[in-house]
Amino acid sequence: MCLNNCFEKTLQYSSPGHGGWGIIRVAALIPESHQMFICPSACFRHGALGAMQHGYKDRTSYLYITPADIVSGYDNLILEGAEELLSKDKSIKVLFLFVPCMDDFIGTDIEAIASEVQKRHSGIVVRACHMNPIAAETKKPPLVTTMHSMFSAIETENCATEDAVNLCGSFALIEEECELFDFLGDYGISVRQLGNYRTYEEFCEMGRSRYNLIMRPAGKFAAEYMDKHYGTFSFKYMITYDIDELRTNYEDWAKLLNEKHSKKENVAFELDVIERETKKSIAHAVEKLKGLPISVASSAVLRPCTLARALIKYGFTVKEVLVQEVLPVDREAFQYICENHPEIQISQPRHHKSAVRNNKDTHMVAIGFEGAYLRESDYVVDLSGDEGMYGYYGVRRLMEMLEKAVEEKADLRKMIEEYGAVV
Amino acid sequence: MKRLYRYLPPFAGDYSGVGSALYELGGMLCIHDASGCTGNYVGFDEPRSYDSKQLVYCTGLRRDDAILGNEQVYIDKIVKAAQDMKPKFVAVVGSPVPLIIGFDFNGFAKDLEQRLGIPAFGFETGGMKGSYKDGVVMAVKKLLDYYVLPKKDELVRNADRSGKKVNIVGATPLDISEENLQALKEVLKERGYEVNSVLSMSNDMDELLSFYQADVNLAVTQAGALIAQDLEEKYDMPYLAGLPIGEFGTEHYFACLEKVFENGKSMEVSQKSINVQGNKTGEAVVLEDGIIASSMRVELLAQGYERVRVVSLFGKDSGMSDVEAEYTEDEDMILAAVNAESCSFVAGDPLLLKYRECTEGVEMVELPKYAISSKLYHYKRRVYIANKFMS
Repeated sequence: MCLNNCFEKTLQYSSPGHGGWGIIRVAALIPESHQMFICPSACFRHGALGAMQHGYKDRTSYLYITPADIVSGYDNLILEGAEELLSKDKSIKVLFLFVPCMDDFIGTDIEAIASEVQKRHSGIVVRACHMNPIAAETKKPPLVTTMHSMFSAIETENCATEDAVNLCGSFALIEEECELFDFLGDYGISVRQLGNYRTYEEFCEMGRSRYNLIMRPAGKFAAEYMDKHYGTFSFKYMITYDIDELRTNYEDWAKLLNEKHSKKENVAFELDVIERETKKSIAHAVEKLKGLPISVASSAVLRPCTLARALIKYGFTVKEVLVQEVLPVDREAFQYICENHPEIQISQPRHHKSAVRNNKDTHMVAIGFEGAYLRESDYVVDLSGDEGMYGYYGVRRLMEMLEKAVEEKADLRKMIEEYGAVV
Repeated sequence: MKRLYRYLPPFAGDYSGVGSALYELGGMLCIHDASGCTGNYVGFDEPRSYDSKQLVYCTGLRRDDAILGNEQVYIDKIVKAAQDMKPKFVAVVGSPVPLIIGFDFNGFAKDLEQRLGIPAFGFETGGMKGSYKDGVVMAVKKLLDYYVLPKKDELVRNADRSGKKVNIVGATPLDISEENLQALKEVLKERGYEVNSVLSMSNDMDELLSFYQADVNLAVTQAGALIAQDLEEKYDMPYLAGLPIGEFGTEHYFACLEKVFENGKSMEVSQKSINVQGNKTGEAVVLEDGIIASSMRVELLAQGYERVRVVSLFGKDSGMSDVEAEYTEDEDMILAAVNAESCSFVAGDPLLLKYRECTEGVEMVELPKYAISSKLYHYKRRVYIANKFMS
């Protein structure tokens, strides 16, 4: 079952702890947008129920297609459906037309249909989207195409003229308590996040930002689009929980910014001070966990091996890393673990053997729901997809979460249900 | 436009019905899709997923393999998993892409069977037409046809139906909660009936395959009526379509059951005349599976309601010959039924009832249904079997 550098492509087990935001929720971040899914009736049940759980169902609708439509084509059906939807819902400013996997084999020209709908409805931006996980291993997986559709919806003048950074790839909001705001604020640069916008018009200001910050690989596609079409410039400093990497990132970034921006006199960002505070919180958490084994899952963080390596360095006891596939950005840390810590088990959470849990020792803390479910761990850190984490702030929050997690045994089922993940 | 749904989510599809009916039988379910259909089933249509050791997998279908007809990669994955996990059988369950590219489910299953030496079944589902109900029917029929039908002549049946043995047919968590199934078993036991087998929930393969030892099949859902009808044709087993719901409805139900045992002829609870015993007035609307709704209609008419509209969201089938039954998949019509001005009573899934605009003077009975609202209102589930309806 894949231990240490032995990854297999097997039938995929989908545990109750598997899943995340899902593309529908990501696209719903565009304010005043509506998603119309043109699909077989059972295709997007998870997305619709997820939308209800998270309160944006009124911004999704479904146009069901039948086997007969597949034979005859459904271009006109989409035009009629869009017409009816837009006539009934006047609040829509952006309409995303989603077609499913099946459409990859039919070849509907959904981009042309989107253009036609937009032509018929001035003032509404209409974009084609492909919800096609069947293309997951191609150069255009659904997240990439959806990101393009989302950011191509920006319509603004004076592109890339304002001193602001768009956060790309992290969909949950990063709190202003994060030192990133101070770091950029010292240069007079503000931070712009998708989740902060309430209107479509406000959202379009992202096209006026000079910079993007790629925080996770998914953000790369958004940033690349904006660089190409709006003339922005992208920095790439991925989310990490390794304080050495953080120092290097901030120092490098500061050098780049110093070339074009001058700093305020009274700076708020003091790297040494922040690092010292962070080290204190790490030491406190290490002390509190007292060697309790930790499991790190890729459902919690993008780079589980990098996090595991950092935790080892801090003095924690890492027992296992659950990762389906090691991403290039995590490979170096993976090699490090394989070479230096053969006692750490590395396993695939979606391997077919994961369907049967048989854990004798559950006295451990799991970072992420997937590992928590598979290992039936007593304690759980309810982190998914690095949500809300960045910089030293992210490290301190993780330490707090670890300390809180070990205070009482987790009700994992409740946690998973409350989170409302979608595959 | 009938096919535009703005308010309601898509309901559980046929592949979820197959999964639900086979879930507890010790097989290995392989949903042949990229990930989303498996996500629908395990994430939203299968309440037993948590704490389960059942084998449900996604094949991880990819575009190039589908285009090139590269089935070997999936055969290899399934064979490897089956060798490791040792299931009793393999079920390959379809999704839209295999369906539209003409994937040969039966041929694929035959290939697996030859390689593995265990039964393998292919299910031509796609979430495109019909509903979970069709998947439940497909799954149960296919298993019984494979395991039992060839041995039909060797089966020993109790010809005079004196054993008072029944099967509960068409129960899956998509329609019936575990609590309601237990309540049904209890009331049958209290009335002197022995439950032989449940097709297909809270059971195992041996129990499922022993169905022929019963005298009468109790079709408790539309899926159940379709299966029971098939069993009547193939095994000459009579059935009763309906459920014992409410005080009056329960008496009515058992009077019907007695009749089926006496005559050996199938019937529906709506076919027996109803004695009005209560003093309720006005009109009622029930939105549910047709058989469940028909059974509630019996109780409500007996309570005195002058008219009870049965609104089935999952098509018209045998076993529901109510004069007033309506069958619709049109969202506007569903919401119109929820908002029927003249009614003083409305029952249905909370997800439907939340769209009722005028609630004053209307008794609303919430009946969470997994095939509609999944886990969103599962906490509101209630026992409605026997005397507990509306209590």
